Amino acid sequence: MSMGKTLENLQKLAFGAIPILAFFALWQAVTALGILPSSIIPQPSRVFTALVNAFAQGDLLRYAAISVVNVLAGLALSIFFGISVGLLAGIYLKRFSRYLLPFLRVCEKLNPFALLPIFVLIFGIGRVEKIAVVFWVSVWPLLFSTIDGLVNLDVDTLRSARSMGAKRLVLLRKVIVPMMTPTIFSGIKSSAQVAFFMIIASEMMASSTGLGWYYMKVKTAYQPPLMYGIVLFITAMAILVNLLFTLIEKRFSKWRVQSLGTAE
Amino acid sequence: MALTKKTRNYIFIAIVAVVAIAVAAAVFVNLSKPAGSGANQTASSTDASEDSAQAANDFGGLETYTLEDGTVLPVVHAWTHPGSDASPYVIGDELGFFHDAGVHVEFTGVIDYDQYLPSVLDGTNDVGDAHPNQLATYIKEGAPVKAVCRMDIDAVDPANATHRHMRYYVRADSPIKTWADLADYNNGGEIIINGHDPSCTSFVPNTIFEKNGLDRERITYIYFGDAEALQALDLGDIDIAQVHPAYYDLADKGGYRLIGDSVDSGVGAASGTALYFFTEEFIAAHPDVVQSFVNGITLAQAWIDEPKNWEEAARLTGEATGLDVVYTHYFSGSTEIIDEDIQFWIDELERGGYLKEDELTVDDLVTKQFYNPEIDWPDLSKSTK
Repeated sequence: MSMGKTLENLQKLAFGAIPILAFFALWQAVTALGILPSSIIPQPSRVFTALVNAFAQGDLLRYAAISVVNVLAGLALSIFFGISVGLLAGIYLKRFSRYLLPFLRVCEKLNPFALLPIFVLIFGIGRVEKIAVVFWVSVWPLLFSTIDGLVNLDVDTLRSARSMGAKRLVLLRKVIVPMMTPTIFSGIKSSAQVAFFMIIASEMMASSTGLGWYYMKVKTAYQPPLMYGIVLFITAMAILVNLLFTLIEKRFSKWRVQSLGTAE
Repeated sequence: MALTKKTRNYIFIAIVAVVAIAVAAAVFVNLSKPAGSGANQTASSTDASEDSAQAANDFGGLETYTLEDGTVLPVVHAWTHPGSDASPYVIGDELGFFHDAGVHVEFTGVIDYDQYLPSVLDGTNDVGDAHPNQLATYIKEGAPVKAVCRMDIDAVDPANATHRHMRYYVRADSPIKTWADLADYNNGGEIIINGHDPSCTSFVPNTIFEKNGLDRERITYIYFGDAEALQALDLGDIDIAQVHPAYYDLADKGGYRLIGDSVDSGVGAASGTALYFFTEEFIAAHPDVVQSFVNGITLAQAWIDEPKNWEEAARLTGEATGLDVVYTHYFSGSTEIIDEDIQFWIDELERGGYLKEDELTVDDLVTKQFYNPEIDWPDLSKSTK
């Protein structure tokens, strides 16, 4: 990367950080001046101190690790299941999936918060239930983005590949999947975001560990600095997850270009 | 059309300026709002005439409510209680204890646990209620609130045992029949109870365990509501379900085995103690109104505690809340605040590391200026209510 490009990126970062810093500065000012009651909205300096203390004590990372492992497990299952079933339904079981799709759309629209007690009922309390919740909420964006990706495939490219003698598996590996990469990654990113929020929500009920439970514990003990700290921490984690999948998407895009032999 | 760098900078500065102006405007609005103005959302049910404006001045600017006989009363705002702890408010309102004491209580609607303190600090509600541990954490964070009298207490007298703060149930096929059976349960390992720390649902079982020579560290608390706890017990997800009075009947009818209640903690009335609190500003500005509230609600509580009124109190509470209330909570019939009842909760907070040793004392939490010896477990047997 050239020096000019680096400088440009740093400038972008600095400009992007200004509103965030301004927000925290204003927050600090209105709470320090007593304009907002610090017993309800603590000063950001206290929020960050509480966050650092929770880090130092290991609580925050311990509970965050539990939540992240549950998210990754649920997400991995939904990526495998959502993409493979989506491909299966879109390529081999078109008629069957046409009848099944309305039902699956209804399932997708069911309020996951209302379903939490049912998950407890079926899976009991514990890790399996949390992973199942993550799987449930994250599988739908993946399944439907895969099916949508198939529907919107460039027919000319497919025909060209077929006319050159590509068999189904080769077609799938060399043409269909690469062409669908952007759609699939869009689904993965949506799934990751929703998975992260749902794990927190599910840990707030029927739980004795995880980041959501930790937030409830802090809330019960009425520790506003740490309450806000955990909210900021969860937000930062959600942003990191998004960044991570954007990076992975970029890497897959390179492979996609190589596989298709051309950039669209 | 691509924007020039200069244009982008202007846009950026404009966005920052708009945000700054918006925050400044919000701050200005907040500063110019008079104390207690948050209660305006319910003003429609209170007086709006010129006469009432005069009366309002008589009550230090508080909203007023005029009775049919023309008596004007100051209004105290309280959030609507959706559970069986609503009884003192419901009975005080329905049977006229508040009006007799010289105050009208206006209900502002159901709010979430998170909003209790903010709603009192911003004046939406004038009075709130909480267990002493909750109040202590508010005050530790600098909230200028003080408790003025007691709400719930535990029903120590065996004659009132059906109204105790919490009960402990196990499945009918559980090997646990008494607290003593827990010693060998699960080979001396983990015991799962619904609850969350630090609250009554952890303080009381912890104390019961200690009193029975059991290790409190064996308990794992799973975050569950009372109704869900009974379902979880059915499913074998928890070993013991602890529930509040609204669910006693459900638990009894469900065939669960009762192994004990909150009085087993051995701390007397403390295991059920909750307090009413106001802001220090409100107490200083309207001590007479607070006294009227304290008198009215304590008399209502004494009425609820009378065995002959149990059924009626449950019926009225059930009608107001929509719950199938069979047992109400048990409440203080005295305006006196007992130090030991509060100290128990402070000690438990210290023990859990939520308070430093001697960080708060009972006097930091309560004011005893509203103790009225005339209302001290009054004999309401001749009451016409």
